[in-house]
Amino acid sequence: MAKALTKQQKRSRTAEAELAFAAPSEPRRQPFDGYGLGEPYDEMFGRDSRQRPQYQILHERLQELGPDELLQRQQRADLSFLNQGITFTVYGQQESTERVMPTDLLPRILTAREWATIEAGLTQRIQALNLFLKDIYNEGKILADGVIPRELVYSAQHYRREMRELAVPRDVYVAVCGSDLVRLPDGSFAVLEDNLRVPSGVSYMLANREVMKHVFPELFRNYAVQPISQYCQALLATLRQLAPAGRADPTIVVLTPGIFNSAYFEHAFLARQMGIQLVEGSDLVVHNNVVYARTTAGLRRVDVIYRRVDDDFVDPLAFRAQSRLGVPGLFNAYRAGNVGIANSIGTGVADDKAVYAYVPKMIRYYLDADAILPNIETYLLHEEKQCQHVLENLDKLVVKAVGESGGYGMLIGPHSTPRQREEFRRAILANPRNYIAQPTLALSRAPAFCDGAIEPRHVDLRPFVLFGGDRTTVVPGGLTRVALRRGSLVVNSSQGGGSKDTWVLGA
Amino acid sequence: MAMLSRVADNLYWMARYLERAEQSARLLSVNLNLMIERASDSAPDHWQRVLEALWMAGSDGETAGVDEASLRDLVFARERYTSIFGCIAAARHNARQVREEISAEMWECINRLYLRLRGTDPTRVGATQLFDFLHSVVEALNLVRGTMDGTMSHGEGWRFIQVGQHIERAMAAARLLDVYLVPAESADGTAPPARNFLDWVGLLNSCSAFEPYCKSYARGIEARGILEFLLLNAEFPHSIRYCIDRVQNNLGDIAVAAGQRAGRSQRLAGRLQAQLNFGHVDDIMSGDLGAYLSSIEQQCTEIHDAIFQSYILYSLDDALIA
Repeated sequence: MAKALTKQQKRSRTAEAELAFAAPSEPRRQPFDGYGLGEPYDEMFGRDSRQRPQYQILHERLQELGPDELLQRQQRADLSFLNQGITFTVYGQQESTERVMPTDLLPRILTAREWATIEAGLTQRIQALNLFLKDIYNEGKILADGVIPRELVYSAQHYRREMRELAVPRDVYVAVCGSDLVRLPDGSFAVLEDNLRVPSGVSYMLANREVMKHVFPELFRNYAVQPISQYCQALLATLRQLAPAGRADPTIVVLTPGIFNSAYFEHAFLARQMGIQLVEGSDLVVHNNVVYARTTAGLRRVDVIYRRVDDDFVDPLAFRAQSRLGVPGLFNAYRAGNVGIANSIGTGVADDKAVYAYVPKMIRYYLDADAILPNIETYLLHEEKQCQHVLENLDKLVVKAVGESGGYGMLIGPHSTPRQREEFRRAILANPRNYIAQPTLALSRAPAFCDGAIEPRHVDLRPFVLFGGDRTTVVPGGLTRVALRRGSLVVNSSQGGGSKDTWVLGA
Repeated sequence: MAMLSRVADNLYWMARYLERAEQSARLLSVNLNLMIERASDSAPDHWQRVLEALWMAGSDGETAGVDEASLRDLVFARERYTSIFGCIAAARHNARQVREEISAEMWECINRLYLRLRGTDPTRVGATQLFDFLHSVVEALNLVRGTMDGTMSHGEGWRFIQVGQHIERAMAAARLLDVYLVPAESADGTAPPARNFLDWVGLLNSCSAFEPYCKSYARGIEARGILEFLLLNAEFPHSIRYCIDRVQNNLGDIAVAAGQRAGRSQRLAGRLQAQLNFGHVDDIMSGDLGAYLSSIEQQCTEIHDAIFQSYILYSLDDALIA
């Protein structure tokens, strides 16, 4: 395997490729020329530079196709996304806020064995998290037993006192979860964070697969890829379980903040795939603690809401008063048991990045088991010793605000400027509870097709978990997010990341 | 569950904007084509009429005149809802909010058209290419309609689309007839009514009615025949009577789908339908044609308002009692 190319070399290679195009007898440039291995785990190649068995067919096929054909297929895929309007919105920019989700052409492949571990780990985790939420909003045993500090939970930004002693249908607090996994240099997976409020990305997972089937039909014939298209029906079944008692044929809706939300495409996509209505707050009214939709035939009762609106905005009477995205009175209807809401309110306390550090203890406490998927080592900054250590090593660590998501409010030490570090130092000292720190991870890398060549890029994995009380479903796959900028460790789509189709092979 | 009121609203307006874009594109391309054969001294009157048909004539009676730049503005201007781009953008905006209601193929048609218009640099579309460009926009809009009819369930949503499309089309036709056939009360600032053959051809082509008209009226091209055809013909899809028939039928089906909430909108549409079904062109021509055409526009507006009151903006108190 050659070392990374200099720019100069690369340019001459491009020239070579053009030449090859003109005169086919010349030796062609190979797609993997210039692909370098480093310290991080590589998804395709082992330490001995040989491709892993599950990647053999893909690797061969890529060699056969060559860069020009790959480029054509990439363009086909991009065009398909653009025409379908598979876009997301970037906040904080004035113009052209609607962008196509960048997709990488090369699938990421997981073996059935790797998947079995992930599935078991996630199943265990969502059970424990739901038990934890039920516990802290009711008796609070885990707090009384001193397993998790009481003040840590009560000071969490997303803790909702209003949820105390509220009967949640089937004790399902988190019905839909998207946990972010990373692969460490030894090849094992660990959980980087849980998304328990309104996780997004599942539509990209599904859309990626559809586009890949068109772009690489021949590969699907050679690989037994497990299907994922059942996700939406599984989601619908999960939501149906949350209907109030006695509502035999419940009306289920998706609640979106509207067309300007970054994930609007996904909200519409899910509603379409489930065959249910996509509603905005202004489409719903609450009367006598019952939720109705304004329809052309008058008001019609709504039984379950899959809400994609944050807690704060769900109901201006219960939470943020100036919100116009929500439905006045919705929370009281929920409290009265007249409507099911997924995810429930106040679930964010469990994905607070400081509370996250205690999830393995939760699993031990509630399920009497070891965590199958470990956590990433996390420094809690409200503990003086750990805080001291972090402040001394800001240039080596990653610091995150505990209540943020989407890659906002984050410091990546090795890539930061002294000024950024100083800002974070001050912010940490002002409110240590608001931050955690983790070692800078060598996220695994996977081959990605960038600018006409295949290069390694850092990836993570967000599988989607559905929890309906007695049953947990993890569709085999997930969204592999890829940091398309060379060397970048940030995979969030809001920060220049893209995605890949993720194939889980049959046993 | 019945259709959300907001969704009905979006579908209805999507259809109106698509239809408006098509009307403008057709009108402009027809007139660009006509100008090739005309003396340049008739150009100001000619374009003034086009602007009036688009509701865009200068309000203070000034004849702004149309040059290449302002013509491109009618097609590409981004900041207003009256340009063709503005209409397509508004239609797409509405479609985007109801993607779960329309078919994926239909959305892609609209989105592709929008992206093409957005990606076109107006300064690179010269007068000669503009004609082809407008032609291709009309073609793309036909594709949208064909895809809609072929891939979407012809249920309540589709019916709201039909109502919006045909109300818009009827109003545009009434406006065109008004601009072309009714003598202006005051001479200043408004174009004189059409008099010559090329004007009549322009009017008919703006409704893609030239050949269908010729088939029906062997006696030649003249004002009475044109008025009868575009106003009272029962079969031609751009005639006002045909449009109001479609509005009335679809409102009837919507009322059935929505339960008991029929009423005013249907009654108003029925009244206009009867007026057109039983009207005679000689009576209309001997009366005040201008007032007659304005009354049609007025009635269309009333139907629109009644639809919104019945299905979309009804008061919650009434709905809770019901």
